[in-house]
Amino acid sequence: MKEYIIKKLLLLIPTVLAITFLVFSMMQFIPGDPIFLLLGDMYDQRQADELRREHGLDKPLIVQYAWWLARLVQGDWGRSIFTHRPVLDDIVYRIPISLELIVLSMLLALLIAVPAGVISAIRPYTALDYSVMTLAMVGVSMPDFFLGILLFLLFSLTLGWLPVQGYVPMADGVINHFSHLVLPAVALGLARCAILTRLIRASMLEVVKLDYVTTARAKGVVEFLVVNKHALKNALIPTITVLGLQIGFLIGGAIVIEAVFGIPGLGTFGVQGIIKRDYQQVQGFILIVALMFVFSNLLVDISYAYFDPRIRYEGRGK
Amino acid sequence: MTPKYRARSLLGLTLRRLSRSYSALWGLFMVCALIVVAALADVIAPYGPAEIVAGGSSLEPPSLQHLMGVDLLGRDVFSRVIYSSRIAFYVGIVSIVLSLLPGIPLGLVAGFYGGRLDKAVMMVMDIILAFPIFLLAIVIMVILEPSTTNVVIALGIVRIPIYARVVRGSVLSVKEQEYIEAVHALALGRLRMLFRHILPNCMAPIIVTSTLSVATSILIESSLSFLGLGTQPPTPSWGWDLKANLVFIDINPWIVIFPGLAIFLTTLAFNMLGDGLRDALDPRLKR
Repeated sequence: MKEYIIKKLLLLIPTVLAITFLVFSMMQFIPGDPIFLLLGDMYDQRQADELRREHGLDKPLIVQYAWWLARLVQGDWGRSIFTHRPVLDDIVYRIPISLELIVLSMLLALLIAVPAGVISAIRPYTALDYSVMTLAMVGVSMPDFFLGILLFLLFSLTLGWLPVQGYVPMADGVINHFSHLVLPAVALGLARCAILTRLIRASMLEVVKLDYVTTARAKGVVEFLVVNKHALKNALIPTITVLGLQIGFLIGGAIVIEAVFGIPGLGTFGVQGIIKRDYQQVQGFILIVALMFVFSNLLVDISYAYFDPRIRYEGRGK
Repeated sequence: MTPKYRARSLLGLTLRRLSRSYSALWGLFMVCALIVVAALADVIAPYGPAEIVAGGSSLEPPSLQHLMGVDLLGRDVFSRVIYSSRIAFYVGIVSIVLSLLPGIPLGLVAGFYGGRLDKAVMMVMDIILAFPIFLLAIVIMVILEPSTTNVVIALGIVRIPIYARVVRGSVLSVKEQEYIEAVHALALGRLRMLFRHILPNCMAPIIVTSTLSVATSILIESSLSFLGLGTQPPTPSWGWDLKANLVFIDINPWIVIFPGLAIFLTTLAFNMLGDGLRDALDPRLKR
């Protein structure tokens, strides 16, 4: 297992390098010459050339990339054109906010999806199964931001049970903090929950047909244990793969949900940057999102190997 | 002399199998209804999408004159919801055509020739596929200006690998079939073989993926427009209207609910039809 994790960590280096290179190249595509922006009306060819030399913009792109990368590693992610604050500072402040939302909604999704999928699968083609599957279909088709708005309309505006939009840091009271996060997390989690439920049901249906489940039943294992220990554990393996994919969707969904509920997370930061064309901010946003995605995939890979020992030994002894 | 077995077209077979599932039939019905709505928007919508109709009043709740209420600028929300369906269909269908055009040949070639070419193509496709569509679309929108056409282009690009993968997978299984051996024996040209004999037998997964993709395309377009990164006014779109009306949700929730419902119902329709088609076209997944 240790060997496997080390191998995966080493593989991370080229991946991260590739991502930084892609982001760097992408920033070259963006219309607009930075020197021109900097000088504005005072544009003058000689001064422009000088500034280009000063900033290393006359060097070949690959050299520029190396410099840029060196600055990134040292923690210099540039400054926002509008607020002049270091981009990395803003990102570091916002990461926990978005991460908390993502983790909460993921937990919520799993908490509902696992029992719902299992129940649906052990009683297939019954009224119960059909209602779970209908709800899942509705969940898959429901735009998460619209669901968020509906929940907000019901629980905050009509019933007044939960506070109106916004974000309250943990320091201002735990209850206050979570009461602001409940609706965003539910809105974000339910769509994933629907997808996971369908998947868990499908893979449970496959697994319960397999021989070892029949064996377990034949030797008199209690049905509860057959379902939860023998079948579910194996049915969860494909679920973990999809969970990895879902993390990407969660990061994307969080961007939209943050906009609905006015949460000052990474998504809000990125969307503001894109609309204002603040490219330093956008660059930081894309980098951090890509890194989050890569690291979450690493976690998924590791847990995958934990659940399925076959993965760990793949490629060994060849 | 009557033939013992009547030849059945893929369409006839599919329709027959579709009709066995209620949810698929509902999906088909809803999709057809939505197509009619989008096509006849001029006839159905009582007002123009940008027409100021309420005579100075704004944010009115639904009434007989204005079935879904009136927005801040005094525009009829019902008419806007109807006209926006055109944008949704435009995005849904054109983006898929854009990804099919390069996706199908890439998958055909990779699957048919195999070897290094296959490995190279699929590696590039897998790298793109590793990133979630929505995030990729956002990144592409950074480079391109936010507009409906650019959303279509972004969605078209990010889905190429999905089609390449789907087509390659079916080519791999189709090319082992006996009738392809027969085609080999006839020594027909490569192109003719690929497009006349192999591709038609890969159509089922392409159709299923496309139907489900329309649903996600519409979801993504409305999410992007909701963020202000997609369709821009004055073009009417559900996502943008939702965003613009959201500020007034405490005064008039209806003008928020209806555009949202429109997105939901359209996505639901294509998802239900797509699921039904998958069950109908892929006998292995049949219950």
